[in-house]
Amino acid sequence: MKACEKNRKPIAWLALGALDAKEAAALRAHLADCDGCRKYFKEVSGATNTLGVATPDADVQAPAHFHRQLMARLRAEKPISAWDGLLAALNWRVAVPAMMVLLLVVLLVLARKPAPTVTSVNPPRVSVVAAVVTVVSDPAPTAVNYQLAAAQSLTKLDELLTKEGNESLPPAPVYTATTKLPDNAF
Amino acid sequence: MNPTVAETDLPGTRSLLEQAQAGDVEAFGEVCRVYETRLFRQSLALCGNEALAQELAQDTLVEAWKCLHRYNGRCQFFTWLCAILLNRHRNTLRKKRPVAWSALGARDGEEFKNKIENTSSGEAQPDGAAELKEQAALVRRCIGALPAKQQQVIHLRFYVDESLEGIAGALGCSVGTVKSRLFHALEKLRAMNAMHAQFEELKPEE
Repeated sequence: MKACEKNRKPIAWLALGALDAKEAAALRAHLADCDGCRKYFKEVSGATNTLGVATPDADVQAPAHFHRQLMARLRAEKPISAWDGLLAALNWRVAVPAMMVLLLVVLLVLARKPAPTVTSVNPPRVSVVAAVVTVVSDPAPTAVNYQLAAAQSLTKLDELLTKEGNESLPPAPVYTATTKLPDNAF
Repeated sequence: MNPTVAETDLPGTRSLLEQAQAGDVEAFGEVCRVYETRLFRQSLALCGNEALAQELAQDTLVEAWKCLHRYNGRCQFFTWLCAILLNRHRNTLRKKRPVAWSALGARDGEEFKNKIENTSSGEAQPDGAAELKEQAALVRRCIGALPAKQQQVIHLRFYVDESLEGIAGALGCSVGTVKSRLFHALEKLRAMNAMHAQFEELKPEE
């Protein structure tokens, strides 16, 4: 019989003594009723008990010269300051992504910069009236211009359409057979 | 240093650590005197060889001195030392390449064989002690088969006897992460334990 899936982690933590009293009591009540969970708890507890076998030997002492050697090494070293530690941590694993991010930021800044505006010392003076006259006198054949002309008068629209109709049209394409059929085709 | 220095550290250690963090090497030496034997025991349990254990423990204390500014008091100082010890031990194992039997000299090979025979025959020790040592070695091998992060939490929980909060502080992760790693480690150890029990049952009785 298998342990309840939702209880596996809590059972492991119970075996480790890492559950609070309330949760532990609730889980113990469940263990009394559930064979699968009880078996699982027994196995996990067995594993934790086995781990205890490998506890470091409490009778072992460090060799007599250990401290003397250690002090000689420590005096030769100096502690790393927080700043030095930060610099030491900046190996390629940190440096490469940092450079990538920096490059990305520079590119974004450049992309957001507005395009340079062309300013002339003596800008051409174009009056609004002249512009309107230009549009009306030689308008392009667009729907907007037709609407403008129609808004002025129907005569203007008629003139515009007549003018465009009289303009020479591009020559119509002439289709010719380019593939010569063999003599015995028919 | 953070005012929440683990209260369970030995009395007097706190002020010595503060002096050491201010750059006083002699104060750090006194701190080392307090912890070096315990650290050596941990190191010996990991290495199984006195010379290597001594080197590993000294390297750990030297590294601790060099980066003492990183100790923030979220765990006991000894737990922090053990976290460094475990990292260094893992790095040592990583660097160490397996040596082929044929690569050993004839004399080394003979010596190694003799050692294995002596160990397996248990001549030098009473049966109980030899068996216990064998079991401990087996457990160590099982722990060694776990992923490095799971080994760390098992070691700190069972052999350094640190709280979950202390382990989280020493490893720089959350308590939830520590609990999760412990669960997965225990799952694997449970399976290994079950396999070993089955193996023992299959053994012919002497």
